[in-house]
Amino acid sequence: VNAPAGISRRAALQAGGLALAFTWVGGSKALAAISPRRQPADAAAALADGNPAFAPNAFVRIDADGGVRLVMPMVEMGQAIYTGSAMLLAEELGVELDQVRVEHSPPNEALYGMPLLGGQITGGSTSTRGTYGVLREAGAVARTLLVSAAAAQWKVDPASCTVARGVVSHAASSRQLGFGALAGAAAQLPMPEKVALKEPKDFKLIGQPLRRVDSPGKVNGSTQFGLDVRVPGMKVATVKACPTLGGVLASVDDKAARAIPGVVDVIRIKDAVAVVGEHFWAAKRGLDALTIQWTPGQNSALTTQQLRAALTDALAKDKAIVGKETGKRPEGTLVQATYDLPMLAHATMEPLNTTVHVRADQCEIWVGTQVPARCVSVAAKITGLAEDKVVLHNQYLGGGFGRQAGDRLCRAGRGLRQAGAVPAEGGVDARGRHSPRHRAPDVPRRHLGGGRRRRAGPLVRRPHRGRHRAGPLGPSLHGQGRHGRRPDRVRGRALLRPAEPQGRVGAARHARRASNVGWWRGVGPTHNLFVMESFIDELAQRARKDPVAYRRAMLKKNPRTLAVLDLAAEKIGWGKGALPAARGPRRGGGRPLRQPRVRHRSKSRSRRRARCACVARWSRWTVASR
Amino acid sequence: MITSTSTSVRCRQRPRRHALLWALRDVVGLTGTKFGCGIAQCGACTVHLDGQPVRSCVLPVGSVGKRAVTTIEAISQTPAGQRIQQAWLEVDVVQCGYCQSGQVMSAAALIQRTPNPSDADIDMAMSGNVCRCCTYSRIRAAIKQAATGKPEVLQSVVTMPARSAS
Repeated sequence: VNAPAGISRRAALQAGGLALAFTWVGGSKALAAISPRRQPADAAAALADGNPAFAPNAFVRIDADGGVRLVMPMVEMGQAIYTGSAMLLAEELGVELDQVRVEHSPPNEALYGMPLLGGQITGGSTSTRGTYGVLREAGAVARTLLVSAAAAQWKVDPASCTVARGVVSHAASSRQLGFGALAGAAAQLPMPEKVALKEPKDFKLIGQPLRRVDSPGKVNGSTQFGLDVRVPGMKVATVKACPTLGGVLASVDDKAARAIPGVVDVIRIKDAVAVVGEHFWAAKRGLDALTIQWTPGQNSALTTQQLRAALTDALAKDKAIVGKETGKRPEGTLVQATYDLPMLAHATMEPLNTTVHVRADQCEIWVGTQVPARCVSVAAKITGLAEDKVVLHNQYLGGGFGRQAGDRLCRAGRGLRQAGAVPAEGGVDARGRHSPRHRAPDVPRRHLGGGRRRRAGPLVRRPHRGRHRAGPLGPSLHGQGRHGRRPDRVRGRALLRPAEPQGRVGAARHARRASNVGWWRGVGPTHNLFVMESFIDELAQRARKDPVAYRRAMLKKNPRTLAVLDLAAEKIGWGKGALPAARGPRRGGGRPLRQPRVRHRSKSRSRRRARCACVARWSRWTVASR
Repeated sequence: MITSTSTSVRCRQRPRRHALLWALRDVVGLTGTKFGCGIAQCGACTVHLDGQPVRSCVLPVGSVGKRAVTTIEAISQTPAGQRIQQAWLEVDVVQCGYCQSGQVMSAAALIQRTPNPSDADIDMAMSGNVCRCCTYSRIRAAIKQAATGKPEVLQSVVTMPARSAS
């Protein structure tokens, strides 16, 4: 098996391939100690978070006035995780979403590191399934302590008390106490060993399509994103980087820029120039006024055509193929198709930005990031300060897409270390505008052995479980995988794996030097599913079968995925005449949902439930906007 | 003169070419109006100039003159803005939310001048506002709901009535 060292392919598939991609950014799993109960680091964290009267764990804060604050382990970048995480906590705590305030978590691997990704990392669609159990239990721990405090005061059996809307009630004696009144007493109680979790049939919030908790601020402009951070006395920097990767700054004439009112400084970095201004307008005008000479480096003559040709060449010569064919080759016609996927630029709506204030004894950072703890480590290295002297305030992200999981702080930091003691905001990188990273180009080719063309059933013969090698772990274009291999190559392809006895992927190594590639929204599935599903469509067409019926036949042994497919087919009215007409010329570009994309996979009980919680959201989005 | 929220701000000390967006964000301190692209391609910076939607990232302060600038912070003070914001909450439009200030401003201007917009009107008015989360179908539904007052039925697998979270 050609799997990354130390990680079996089976493990990769079981985790949907998702867990692996992110392990590089995280700390060790030993540090990822997210827990529903109090931990050593909790006292300091609660103290820094307004010193609430009751803070039984890293997630629940109850103030003496009855205010309920919930600390979100994962970051919000549009995926509604603040709503989902709040639902998990509130369900077991016994409050409604209209009673809670959600907060960004501080960087702290010990308190918020998720074992599934090995750190305090938001990505890979893991947030709900990675925290489903722990957040419910965290809510239950808090509720148990609050109920115990009330029962002790009333001298009744805790089991005779009920909780609703942040109030503990004892019906027999008609007594009630709010969480705020109980917080002080609850804080004195020892941690309960075991807590009772609700039965799914008793859920009031989980499974309900509740409105988002973060909508009001985003509708009236009051939500603070990273770019909205304002620190007294701060300056604004904007950066122009060498237009080719590997190129460096040769010289820069900054006389005109420095003459512009409001321009504070011009900073030279190895492969970029930054202009610092009193406000963005000055910095921008200053940047425009620079005369820059670059030494473009060896990639300056590289063209897209060359990249494409190299990929195609590698594919033709089987150089890029890692996935092995083992087991019996299925009988029948070999169907082949090549799909050509371009390099795509990431562009979050919010320009990438970081605000940093470096002092002699402290570095303070304001940034919307998917990897807050990693940012702290990077900042500590840049500044030479200890990690506990780095304070990071996470912010709402104006889109994530994996782009906020990188190390842009490095670039900002390198410049800002020189900028000195004023807080400064590093702005847009002019090379990639919003991002210097692109999704890797991909020329995957599907090979499937099939039955005879006229055969009634699916063309694909299912190989024996565990014997086929569906995992084409192609050489990395991302430059981040272990031994140059990336699980992104298989991600999503495992979904219909009975249908994929041999999957092959082409990739060319040299592209790595020429472009800075990274994650794309949806990570692997955005290209892998396109290829996979398109190919299944082609097979269905050859078999003269309805594409949904064709998939149904493949999914006989996968009832949950089949149920998702059936539900999607039902909701779009598949097979009942024409699909609903697009409501406007732009809706779906006149190309209605051609086949439902099945994103569903889960094995363990908890993950299965967790997936249910977010499938609705995704399905809704997919069905409504395609 | 920039009128925003309920306050008026004199902005005469700025160079006349200074784009309105950064005068609002960096000088006045109103950060609800977003910087997305800086070249009038994404719509995140949309504000109203005497009720008309404009891209503030390319609008020089000097050209504002005595016209009233209304930003997302004050749009709830107009009936159209109020209806749009309410519909936005009811339809649960937002995802990451970064573009939504601009979406709300463009939508409010639309129903102000076209009280019952058709799909074509919505396309025309909203096509300059980019949403990377692709909330477009909900934006359309919310605009219609704000215009007609009738709840829009979204094509959705969810049949349970939504409850307000806040």
